[in-house]
Amino acid sequence: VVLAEPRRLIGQAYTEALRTSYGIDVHVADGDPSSTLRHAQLFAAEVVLVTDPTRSDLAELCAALDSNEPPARVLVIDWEGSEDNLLRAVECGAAGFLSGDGGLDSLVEAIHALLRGESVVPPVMLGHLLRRLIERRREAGEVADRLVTLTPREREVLALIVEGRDAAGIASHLFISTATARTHVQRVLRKVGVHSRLEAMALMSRTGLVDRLERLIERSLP
Amino acid sequence: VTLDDRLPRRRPEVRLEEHDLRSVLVVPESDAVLELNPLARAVWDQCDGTTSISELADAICQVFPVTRDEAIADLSALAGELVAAGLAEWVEGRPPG
Repeated sequence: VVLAEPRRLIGQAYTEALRTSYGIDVHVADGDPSSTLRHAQLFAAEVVLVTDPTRSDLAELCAALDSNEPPARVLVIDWEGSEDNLLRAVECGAAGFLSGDGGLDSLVEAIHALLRGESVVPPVMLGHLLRRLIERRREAGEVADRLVTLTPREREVLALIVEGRDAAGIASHLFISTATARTHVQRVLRKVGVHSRLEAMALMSRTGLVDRLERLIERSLP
Repeated sequence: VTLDDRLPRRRPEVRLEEHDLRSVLVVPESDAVLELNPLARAVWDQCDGTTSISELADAICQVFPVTRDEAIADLSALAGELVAAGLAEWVEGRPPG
C-alpha cells in the first residue's frame, strides 16, 4: 500500500498504526503525482491511499495508477465525508471512498475490499450518489443535444469559451470584431442554456462534453 | 420501450423502516416485508417512476466493477422481486433525457 500524504507526521501515524496493528506495509509518498506513481511502481502497490479528496489531479492520478503493472486502485479518504467529494472521486475513477468517522478498522476493511477487486462506498451515501450520477448523465444528454444545434462557428466560439477566452480573445483568434464575437458568445450561451462564460465552462467540464465538442468541430472542418 | 427502459416505482403505501444498519420494507396491514441490503436500499430510493433500469445500471457501473449486462440483470431481478412482493410497480413511459 502506498499513501499519498505530504504531511510527514500524518504519514508516519498511518504507517505505524497500519503496520503495528494490522501488519500492512505502507510506503509514504509526498503529495505530488510523480512521487506517488514512482512509489506505486517501486513497491508494486495494489492500493494507493489519497488523503486529499479535492486534489486537482485526482483523475490523472487514478488513470496513471490504473495503467501501472500491477494496476493500483485508489482509495480516497475524506475526513468530512462530503457527498460532493464522493461524486468527484467516483467520476475521477477512484475505486473506494472512506469518510473519516469509521476508524482504523474501516480503513483496513476498505483496503482488503479493494485488494479483492471490490469497490467501497459508505452505504449511507450510496443512494444519493446514484441519484447524482443519474442526474449528471441526464444533464450531459441534454447538453449534447444542444451542441448539435450550434452552427460550426458557434461551436468554435464555445470551444474558445471553454479555453477561458473572453470576447476580445475570441475576436482576435477568429479574426472578427469584438462586437461580432460578443454577439456569437451571447447566442452560444443562450443555446447552451447558461448565463455566463463561466457557467458554460463549468457545464462543459461537469458533463465531460469537451471531447464531444472537439469531435463535432473536427467533423465540420473542410 | 425496451425491457431496460422500464420504470419501477415505489408503492405509496409501503413504509421503509430503518433500525441501526438494517432497512426493511413493510406494507401496512399485510404480511409483505422485505429486508434490503445497502445497495438494494439505495436502488429503492431511485424507484420514483421516472428512473429506468437502464439509467440505474449506468450509475451502478460507474461505482461498482460490474458489466452493464450484469447490472441490468441484477436490477431487473431486484425490481421484479419488489413488484412481485407488492412493494413496487412498473409504470408506463420513457425516462427523461
